Formats: sequence, C-alpha cells, structure tokens
Amino acid sequence: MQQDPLRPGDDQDRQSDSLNDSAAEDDREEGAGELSPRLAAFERVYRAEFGAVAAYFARRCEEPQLVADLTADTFVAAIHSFAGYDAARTGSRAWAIGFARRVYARYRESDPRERAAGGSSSAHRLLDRAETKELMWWIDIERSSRELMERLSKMSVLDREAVELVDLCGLAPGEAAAELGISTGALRVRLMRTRARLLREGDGLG
Amino acid sequence: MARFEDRLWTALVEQHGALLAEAPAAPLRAPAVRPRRLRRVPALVAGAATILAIVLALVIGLGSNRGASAFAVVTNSDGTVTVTIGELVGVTPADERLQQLGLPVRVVPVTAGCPTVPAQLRQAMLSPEEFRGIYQLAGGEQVASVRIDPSRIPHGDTLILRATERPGGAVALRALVIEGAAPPCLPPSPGE
Repeated sequence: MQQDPLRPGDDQDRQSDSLNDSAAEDDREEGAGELSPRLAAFERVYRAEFGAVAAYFARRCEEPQLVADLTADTFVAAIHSFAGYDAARTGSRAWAIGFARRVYARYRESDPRERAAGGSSSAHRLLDRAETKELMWWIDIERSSRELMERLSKMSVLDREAVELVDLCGLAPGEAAAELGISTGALRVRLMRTRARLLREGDGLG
Repeated sequence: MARFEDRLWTALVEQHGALLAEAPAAPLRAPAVRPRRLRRVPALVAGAATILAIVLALVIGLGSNRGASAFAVVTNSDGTVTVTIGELVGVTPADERLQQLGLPVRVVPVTAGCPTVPAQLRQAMLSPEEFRGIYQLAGGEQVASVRIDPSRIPHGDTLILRATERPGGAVALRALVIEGAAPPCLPPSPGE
C-alpha cells in the first residue's frame, strides 16, 4: 500500500508551490487536515472493493488491459461521486459494483473505434509485466464464474443479474434489488427460480 | 501481488484527488454534485403544504377518461412526484401530464417492433445512491408506482420510466436515467 499521497507533509509540500502569503499558509494547514480523512475514507472503499470490481470485469473480459481500463474507469467515476456517498445507507460493495455495471454498460454501447483509441482511462499505460500477471490472476480465478455466466446467459437479463449480484458479487438481496430497480421480494423470487433452474440443468452454483 | 492495485490508487490520487480536497471534510453525505434542475419548495410553504397533504394530495392527473385507475400523476408536498400506471393505456396520458409539468421524466412504453436502438441511449453515470435519491418504488408487487424527486435529476438528463405490460394487463415500471431526450418507445429486452 502506498501511503505517500495521504501524508500531511506531502500535502503541505504540494500546496506550498502555489501559496505564498501567510494567510494562505494558514489555509493550507487547514486544507491539509481536511484532505487526509476524505482520501483515507475513499482509500478504505477502494482497498475493500478493488478485488470485487476487478473480478466483475474479469468475468466479462479475458484481456488484462481491458480489465485494467474498466476497473480504472469505475474508480474514476466513484471518486467523482464520493462526496454524495452515504456509507450508512449503501454498503461499499453495492456502491462500487453499481459503478462497475454502468461503466461496463457504457463500454458495451461505445463505438468500437473509440474503444480502440483507448478512451479516457490512463490505466492502459500503467500496466507492466507484473501488473499484467496480477490481472491475469484475477481473470483465471474468475474462469469458473464465467462458465456460470455463460449458463446464465440463456436466462432473462434480470434473472442473470440477480444471481450475479448476490451469488458472485456478494451483495445483500436488498442491495441487489435496489441496484436492479425491483423489490426485494421480486428479487428473492427470481433468485430462487434461477437457482432451481441451474440445479435442474446442471451442477448449480457449487 | 497488488502492484496494479497500488499504482492505480496512486494515479487516482494524483489525477483526481483534488476532488476530495474540494469536498467538505466531516460529512460523507453531501449535496448533489451536479446542478439541480428544480429548487425544492421553500421550507415554510413545504411545512404548510405537509399539513394539507395529510388530508388531500393534489392529484394533477387521473386517467378518468381512460379507466379510473389507468394512471395518476400526483405532486407531493415535498416536491416529489408519484407516478402510478395501472394499465398500459395510461402510459401516454401520464407522459403528457409529466411534460405539462415540465419535468425531465418520461414514461416510455415497451413495444415490439420499436425502432429505438437501446445501445444508442447513453446511460447517465450515477451512483446507486444518486439513483435512489431520484426514484424509489412506491407501490407493491401489484401496483406500478414510483416516487420521483425531479430536483435530483442532473440537468440535461432524463429519467425514463420503462413501462412493460405484464400478463393479466398489469404494468411493470423500470427506471433508467439517460443523457439527453427520451425516445418515443423502447424495444423489449432479450428474455422479455
């Protein structure tokens, strides 16, 4: 874990480049005090949910570069909305996966030429051999989940997403229902029906 | 093992960390980031209206000409709007009523043969928290009813209530927020 960006001393050094008078230096010290808790709060969410987000994309893509880009896009969107995040109302997993779903939907809708151009993410150029290996690890461990996703592809979109959000992403039924815009009761019915169908047709959810 | 995770974090902080510095320090719950389209009713008026609303909800639209429960568009004292669709024939008049009110909300029917290409609609990038602030289910399993807070819909975006007819004539509503204007209809999704 790299803590440097969160160290108060680093914040002060960075801001002092643009602040010259004494009043500004006072502001700077206050600003440094405010910055760290919010960055630390976002980092807790990031560290807790990075794996779930990477796995979400690893179930859909076999290219490490693409998994990296989509994961980066997800957390860029998340950091832009973090001011409105209410941890008491929404678990961090549901919050992060919500962004991942929208990022993937937007990716699917995007022009292939735009995709080829690399989009807005800077993650692509970040990857080196070790990072590629790291993401390949996520892709490998999601292989069995991809097989399940293929079986689910024969079912309705809502049934498929209900199973993925609850059984693979680990959302609570209420969180998954809210994400899908249906009632918790309706989601439970869909879960039961889809799981039963999977069991009838094969080896189930394991 | 977590090399990419660490380097992405560093890039996020370097490129977007200022967003967190601009935000207030203490509360994690903050006002909407994007500008609001409508202001809420002032507190004094809202308080008086709340008392009245206990007795009487101001029913803006009721589908009396097409069946008593075909649709209802009700403005609530807190500035939210409740949209109820009882039958598919209520979709068009409910949509017209919402347009009359000048709200960025459209009720769009799902019809076979609709030429709209869903992939061409650009979904607004909202967090689940923001999405829930805009729209919440108001009815039960049998009634398609949603409560909407129009002031939370980002400027330029449109909340679409996607209306599908269920077996037996009931209507199912699903919500999505898109950038720009709503299409006149939507095609059924795979599996519907």
